[in-house]
Amino acid sequence: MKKIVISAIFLAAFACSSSATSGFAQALSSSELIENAKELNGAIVSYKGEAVTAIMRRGAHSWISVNDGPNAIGVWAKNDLAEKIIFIGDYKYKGDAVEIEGIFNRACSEHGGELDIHAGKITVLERGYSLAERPYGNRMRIAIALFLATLIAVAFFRKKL
Amino acid sequence: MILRPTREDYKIIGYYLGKIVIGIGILMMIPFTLALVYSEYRPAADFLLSISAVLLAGACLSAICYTKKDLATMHAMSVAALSWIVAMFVSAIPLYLSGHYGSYLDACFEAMSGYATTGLTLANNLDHMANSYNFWRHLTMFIGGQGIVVIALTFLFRGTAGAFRMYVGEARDEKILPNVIETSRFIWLVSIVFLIIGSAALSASAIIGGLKPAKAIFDSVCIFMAAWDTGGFTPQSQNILFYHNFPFEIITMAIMLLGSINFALHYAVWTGNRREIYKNIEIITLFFTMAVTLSITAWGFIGNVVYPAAIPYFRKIFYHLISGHTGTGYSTIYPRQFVNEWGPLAMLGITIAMAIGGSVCSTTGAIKVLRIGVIYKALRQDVKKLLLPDSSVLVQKVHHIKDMILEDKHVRMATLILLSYLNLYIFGTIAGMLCGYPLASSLFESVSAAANVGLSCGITLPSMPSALKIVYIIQMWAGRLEFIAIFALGGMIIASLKGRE
Repeated sequence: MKKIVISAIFLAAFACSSSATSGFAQALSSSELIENAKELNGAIVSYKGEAVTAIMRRGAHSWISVNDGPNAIGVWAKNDLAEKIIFIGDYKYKGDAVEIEGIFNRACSEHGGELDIHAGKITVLERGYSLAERPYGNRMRIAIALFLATLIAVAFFRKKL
Repeated sequence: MILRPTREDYKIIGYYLGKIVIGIGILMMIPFTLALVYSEYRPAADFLLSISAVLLAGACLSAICYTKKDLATMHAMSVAALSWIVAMFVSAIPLYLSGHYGSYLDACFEAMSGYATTGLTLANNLDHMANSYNFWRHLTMFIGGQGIVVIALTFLFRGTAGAFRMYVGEARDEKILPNVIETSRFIWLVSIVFLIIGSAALSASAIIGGLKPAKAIFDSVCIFMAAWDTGGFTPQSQNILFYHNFPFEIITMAIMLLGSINFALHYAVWTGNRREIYKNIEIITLFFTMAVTLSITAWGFIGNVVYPAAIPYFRKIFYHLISGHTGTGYSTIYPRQFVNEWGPLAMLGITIAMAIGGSVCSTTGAIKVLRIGVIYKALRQDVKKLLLPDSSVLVQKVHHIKDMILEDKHVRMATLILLSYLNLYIFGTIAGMLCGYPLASSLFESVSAAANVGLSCGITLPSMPSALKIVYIIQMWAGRLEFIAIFALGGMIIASLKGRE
């Protein structure tokens, strides 16, 4: 009962304000959200992580994938909020570090039962950047040496292959 | 009396293993080329190193063991069993060099998971993995799903009797066409045709769903390969949940089901015999077992309202049932949700579906519906016999491509494989429990590994005990090859140690 009352207060506060304020949101990791999904269902939460993989536009909203290390969680946000994100994390880029504040859904009725967050506010904590490839070290030299050895071996053994 | 294998026996095995290693080296050129296309130069260097090392090893092995002798059954079975282990070790090289795996063991786990079309992953930071490494993960699934030996048969070997024995050793005992090489090529033809159609459908769905075309096409090709081969890898950490796309899920369901169907049935339909779909024992059994396992899973949600309406039920429960039953392992929930939200009975429903699996001569693992159907028919026949006069003769027929009379040898083989799988499931469950995991989770993960499914309830993580990683590797390998080749390999090892000259 206590949880329902607290959640109702959070929801009312969220509904009154166009942007949820950090004062109400519980800062939680992806593991905490997934492990306590039943208890947190419908609560306003704060979740931090890196925007990764892609932003997918769906009409006036977008899906953003936000990864905090152990997991990535789907965030449903209005396009004007999603547009704050410039860098998306992949092999070549470190994505923007963002803080999401919004309503957590254990099995969202709007999105086919998915565990997601409907963002009311997105804050870019740290801008992403282009990642330099790790140095080769001796790897390229070893690769070329092995490649030459392979060519010699294939030429030498060609009748037996 | 067991005869000790001769030096020539080892040479025959070494020669063909060398050829398979060369084949894997050649296949690595695909991600190497992709690395250059995507300007991923560090991965390109890793692949060049791996290709060179693998080709060199394969060439030396083939040359040292050079022989013109054909494979006898013992050799063919040993090659089939060993080629998967060798493939795991060599294919793990670029994965380990990628830096996304905590150890070489983790990279080996990933490679075996790929080849066995399991889909359990130990990759760290998957969302930052280079496209070329990611493609290689998915390509291992495509290769493994088709069969490492099938690939070698298609491109590297002559169509000999020994070739057919190797093909059988890889758990494909059906000759769809008179020649095993033609059969292998037919499997490839079907796969390539569906690759084009399936990838196009997935791409269109992903683009409509807001993904940029380049990313949509890359992901779609990877996901097709993994779904068709009932694998379960995805190019990012959220699995299919990432796409938030109902049509995309429907398409993957269709691909998973197509991948779980016997290639002989594909051939029948391909050549115009569509009625076979309605008569085939495998399809009938598949529908029956799906209905039963769906009922058990749905029963687990009575009094436990997790999903708010019919569509979420379909997208979560039915999707995971199809994913589990076909041995794919695609998921639209987080692993821990199985334990925290689904509960033991719903997990049991999915576990049974995973344990049964799809059709023989398909890309799925597990016991397989044909064997369940055969054992059920044999049981029914025995019960009927009890009710009939002693002098009566009862003939039980099964329809699988053609009408066949059910014989004791069919039932014995089906029961042997069934018992072997049950033992393998129990072995992994006990190993999981010894590592401190609860029974339901240990059973779920063990069946998932041994049946080559890939659904996880949260045990498979880079941090799990190394011993359990090795157990799951063994389970994936044994489950994929369906034991016979492994029993033969075991016999050869015993003969090497204890056999007479």
